[in-house]
This record gives sequence, structure tokens and C-alpha cells, in this order.
Amino acid sequence: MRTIMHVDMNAYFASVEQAANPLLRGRPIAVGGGTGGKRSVVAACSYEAKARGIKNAMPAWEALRICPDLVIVAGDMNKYIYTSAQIMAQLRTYTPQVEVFSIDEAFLDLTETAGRCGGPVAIAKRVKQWIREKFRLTCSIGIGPNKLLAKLAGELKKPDGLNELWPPDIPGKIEQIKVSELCGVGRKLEEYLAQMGIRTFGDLHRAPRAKLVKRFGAVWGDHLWQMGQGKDDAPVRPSAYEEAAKSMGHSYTLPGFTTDQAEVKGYLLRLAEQVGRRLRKENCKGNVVHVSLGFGNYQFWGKQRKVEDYLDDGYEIYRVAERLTLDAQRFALRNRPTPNAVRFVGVTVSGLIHDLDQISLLPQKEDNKKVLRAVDAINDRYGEFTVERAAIMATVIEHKSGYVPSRSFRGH
Amino acid sequence: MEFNCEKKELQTGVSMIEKIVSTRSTLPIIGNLLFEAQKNSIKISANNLEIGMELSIKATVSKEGSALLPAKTLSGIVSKLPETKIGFKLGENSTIKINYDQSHFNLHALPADEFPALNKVKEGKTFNISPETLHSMIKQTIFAVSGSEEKYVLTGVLLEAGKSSQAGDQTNVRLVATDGYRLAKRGEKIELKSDPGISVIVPAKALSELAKIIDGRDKGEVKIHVSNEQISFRYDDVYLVSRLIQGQFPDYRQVIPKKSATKITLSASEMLRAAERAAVIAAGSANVSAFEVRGGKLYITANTPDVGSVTEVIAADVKGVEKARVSFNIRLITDVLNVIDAEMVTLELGEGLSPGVIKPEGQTEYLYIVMPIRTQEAA
Repeated sequence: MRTIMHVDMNAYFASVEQAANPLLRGRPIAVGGGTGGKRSVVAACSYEAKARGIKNAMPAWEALRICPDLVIVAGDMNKYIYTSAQIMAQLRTYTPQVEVFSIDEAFLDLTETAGRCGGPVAIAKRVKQWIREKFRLTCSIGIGPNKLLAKLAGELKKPDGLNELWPPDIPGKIEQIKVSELCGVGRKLEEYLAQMGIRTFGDLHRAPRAKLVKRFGAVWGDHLWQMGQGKDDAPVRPSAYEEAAKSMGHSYTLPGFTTDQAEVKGYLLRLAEQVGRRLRKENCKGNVVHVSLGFGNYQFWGKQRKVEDYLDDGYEIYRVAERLTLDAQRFALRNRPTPNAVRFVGVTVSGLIHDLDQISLLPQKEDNKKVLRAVDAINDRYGEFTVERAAIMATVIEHKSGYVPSRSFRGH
Repeated sequence: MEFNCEKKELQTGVSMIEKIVSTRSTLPIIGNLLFEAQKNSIKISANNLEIGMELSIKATVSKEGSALLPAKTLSGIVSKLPETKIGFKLGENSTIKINYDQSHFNLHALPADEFPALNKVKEGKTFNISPETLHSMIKQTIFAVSGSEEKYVLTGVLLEAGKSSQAGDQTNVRLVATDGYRLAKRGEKIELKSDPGISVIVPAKALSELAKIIDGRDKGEVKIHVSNEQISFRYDDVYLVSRLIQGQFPDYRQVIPKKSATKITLSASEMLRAAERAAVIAAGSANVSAFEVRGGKLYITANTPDVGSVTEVIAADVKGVEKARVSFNIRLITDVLNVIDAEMVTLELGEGLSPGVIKPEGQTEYLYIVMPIRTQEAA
């Protein structure tokens, strides 16, 4: 039998905000989607807010009517992603078999490693303690022989739960859980099951296989029956398996508007160089280049093109990107009186391949790869842009405002 | 201008020339065909400023003259006309009346003098070649060109004609094409009266149009003229002229491997079918397929996570050492096997990540080089 653990962060976004700002602790707070103002919606809320009747996806004005002292905080994805990555990394210290299910949820397959770490319950306690001490966050942990029971065990107590569910506990401990709580049972299916008199896990557990197969077909019928028996073969898929990046990009919001084409190209080149650098770091190449420009009045323009070669050289990415922007000038002209002034520049490469390098029969192409490797090695050691293309420096000389401070560039 | 001609004759001419016409140009005039009626034939010309073409069709001319007709509209009409005599008559108000049976069209025509004249090659180097040979040379090389604007020089095919040969073969006329990852070279030994000393890059588009014109033709010769900026081809009544691509074509002699460690000979059709099957799986993994020579057999394998894998085994005559896994883009392999005219092919492999060479067995005129892919296991 396998040992699977499910870790689910409690009221994740709101809790991260409360942890980051002591003034928010113990108060009803909501993380707003959009601008965080009155016109936004509640993306997530704290337990204190839930207790006052606030629900996710509720418009902010309605939430404020129900709970006038609700504090609405603008969401900060960077904070949530950073915290999540730290937690996931900590989970991987117990087993490499960690499936990142969402930003605040993960499955661990502890079958091989639990014995060495004092058993699954001891691991769960250590995980909870680490997360509490490091981030002031709580989580609910469920342990079972498969993903289905581990997740259901976690649902038994929120927040801050720790429960186990093993075959002898079935259906006993979860007799009253609604079928809609099961992964894969949506509203329609819930309705169909209700018509058959199946409303709780206990009902499903006692439903004959033949009856389910007759109603839902061999595949779904059998799957439902397996769930009712607490069985689930689905493997824990380590995150590397499905989390391989699909694209890499960089963007930059200029300190002010510019109509200077050369300046825009300077930004484009620097961003393309950064994308190339990151592609090479991850040993990736891509054959789709996407450029976006933001003009005045919040007009956005974007265009992409699939190219013949898989690229990881910033200058080659730039050449494709630059060609694409010829179209942007037409766009800017069409959208008059929107000023033809650029405020935002972004370059993204997708269509990624990993760990593959088509060797060129042109010697200068292979030489160029060696040059890039050497430049990367220097920049790894002495910092980004220690060695950089003269063309980027040229923008500084020719156009005084063309310099882009490299540290203010952020990946997305 | 007034003339009569057979619909079939007209359709052949129009369909041959309309591909040249550019419809997306900022210069609308070049979206037209120039019709010139003289004696007992009609000359039709197209010019997209890169490539120009003119050809003649038989007609009964009752009044000489000329006019410009919109290419797209005209070809749409011509392809649907009944198989009968078609009459053309230019009226007073520059309208062309097209008559057939009891019906007619009236098309707005433009005055002919606005059309950019075809810039013909008047002086330069010249040689002749049979249409069959040239067609086969084009077919075996043109697929290897690059389609990328960023590699402009490689969007053309290198044409070399001359007695001095350092290309590692006995030929004196050659076409060479490469996209930077594979290279196709096809030579031919042709009796030349004098040494034209030609080495120019011809846009692939010009050669592909030429190939359509001479496809299936075995009589006469194609006359080729080359100047500094242009190349022209004359065959029968068809004249095609193109701008040359200016630039330095890669020195292909440098990249032809001097020796190989493994040489295998196998059936071209078996290898093609195996490669095409492997390509189905490889499509999900950037077309990467591994080649391995072991125990007198060639193994081609590919796999895509979530889809599956394939192992193709082909009997082969193996000379030299067995070859450990080396990966290629399988599409670059199927491309060449589709154009090779031979029962058996040879595949030569070197050590490590050196290029693969494919040739039709026993022929030295054709050579195809394909570069491998560095994979994680081979890194």
C-alpha cells in the first residue's frame, strides 16, 4: 500500500497578506482581484471574513455592505508565488515525488521515504511546524493510501487539520461527506447521482457497481464505483513532469513615454537578450517570438511569429521581434489620436524545446554558440551584463534616455 | 486590340503566368497581366519586380494592340469558360469585351504603357541544359532552401556552371541549397562549348516556377543567361527572368565530410516508409529521432511523452564500425528520401556528432548532408 500525503494551505492568499502585515491579523480581510478598489471582486478572503459571510467571487461593494470593516487588499501574485515556491521546495526535502497541484496544494508520495523520516504523521507535524514558523501560515494535511483518501482526510478539518484515512475507516469517518466534495464530481454529475439517491460518500460506497456502470457507462461508472470504495490508482506526478515552462518572457514599463524608435529598439534588444540568457540557462530554445508594446491611453498591441529555427540567441530573437514591430507602427497610426508613444515593451519566446540543439553546418553559427557560452560563463560569475552587446551600450551613447537599468527588468 | 483564341490555349498560358503576379503589393499595377497582340500570337507578361515572365499563345489577331488586365479576375473567368473560341476586343473607353458563345464579359483595362517593362538579360554568361535534367536538379535541391527572411541568402539556390570543379565530383553544372541544417547538392556533366564561369544565387521562387513550366517536357533546351544582377531562362515560347540574390553563399565544399566511420546501404523505399512512420511519433518531440547501426541493421527510434514510442528496424549492408545513437530531425531525412531516384541509398555516419551523408547508391551526382541534433544523452 502506498503512503500519500495531501497538503492544502488554509485561506492561502489572505493568510499570506496577514502574515506579511501584522495590522491585518485577526481582522476580516479580502484579497481583491483587479485594482483592489471598490469595483473589484473578492478573489480570496480570510477565515475571519468567511465567518462574517464573505464568499469568494463576491463583488467588493457587496462584501463591504455585509461586513463594513472588511479590509480589501490588492493581490500581489509575486508574494504568493514566492511563498509557494519556498513551501514546495521544503516539501521536496522529504521526497522528490511532489506533485504541485495548484499554488496552495500539493500531493506527496511518501511510500519510499516515510519510514526513514519517522512515519507520515511525524513528517506532517514537521511540515506544519516549519510552515507556521517560517511564514505564520497554517495548512490542512491528509494522509492515506492514495490521492483520493489523502485529499478527503485533509478536508476533515480546516483550518490547521491533520487526519489519516485508511481502508478500515471507510465509509465510517467520511460517511456524511457530500459527493460534490469528490474530485471530478461537478454540479451536473452531482444532480444525476442525487436522482439515483446518492448524495453522500456513504451512499456511493453502497451503490452497486452494475448500477453505476449502467447509468454512466463503463469508464465513468467504474471510476465512480472505485471512488466509492476509496480506491484511486492515479500516481503522484512530480511537478517537473508537468511544470516545464511553456514560454519565457521579459517586459518593462518605461519611466515615461517615448516616440523615439531607436530607444524602443534599445529596450527591445535588451529584453530579447535577457530572454535569450534565460532560455540558455534552462537549456531551452523556442521558435515563436511574441512582442507587445503598450501605447498611450492603455492601447496594447501584440504580434507573434513562428520562425524556422529554434532560438536562444538574444540577438536573433531581437531581429524577429524588430521585424514584428514594423506592424506596430501601422497600428499606432490607425489608432489616432492615441499618441504614437510607447510606454511598455515586452518580448516572449514560446514553442519551447528542452535539452535539444540542432547543430548547424555553418561554422560561424557554431562559433557563435561558443561565444554565447563564454559570455554566459562570465556573466554567471561577475553578474548580469558584465559582458553585453555593444548595440545596447550604443543606445546609451546615442540616446541619452535609452539606457535601461538592468536591475529594474523583471521576468514574468 | 482584337483577337480570337482557343480557351484551352488561353487557360494554359494564364495559369502558367498568374503565379508570378503579386496581389499584395503596394504597387497595384503589377497585379495585372500585359496582353500584346501581334501578327498571329498574343504575348502575355507578368512582372512582380523580383521575377518577370512572358509567354506566347496562338491566336487570330484582327487588330494589333495591347492592354493590361487584372490577373486575378481574368484567371477566375478563364478557368470557368466553356471549351470554345474566345474573342477579346478592346473598346473605346478602355474596356475589354470578352466574347464566347452568346455571352460576354466587360472588363476594365488599363493602358499598357503604365506597366513596368520586363528588364531582360541582354549580355552575360550563357549555357544550355535539357529541360528534363534541369527539372530533376531543381526537384532534388529546392526543398532544402530556407524559408526564413532572416537568412535571406539561404532562401536561394546556388547555381554553378563551369569547367573547374573542386566540388568533389566530376560534374560541371551544379545546384546547391541549404537552410543551415542540411544541404542538397546535385551536379550534372554537361558538354559546354566555353566555360561560362557562373556562380550565382537564384531565388527559390524563380526555380519553382521554372520547374512547373518544364515539368514533363523532354524536347529542346533551356537557354540560361546570367548577368551581374539577373538570370533568365528561355524555353520554347516562355521567358522567365529573375533578380539574383546578392550575398555570400556558404562554402559548401568545407562542410562535405571527407571520410566516414560507418557506411550502410539500404532500400530507399523501406527507409522512407520507416522514417515516415517514426515521424508520426517524433512530431510531438520537435521531430527528434535517434539512429543506431547495430548487428547489420539500422534502428530508427522516436518517443514522445504521453504519446508513445516507435522502433523501426531496417535490414542494411553495413561497412565499417557500428554506430552509437545519433539523433536527427526526421523531417530532414524524409525530405531527401522523397526526391531520390534510386532503389538503394547509402547513409554515411561519422564519429560523435558529425554530419550524416545520404547518397543514391552508385551515383556521385547527388549528395545530401544532414546535421545531427545534440540531445541531453549525447551532450
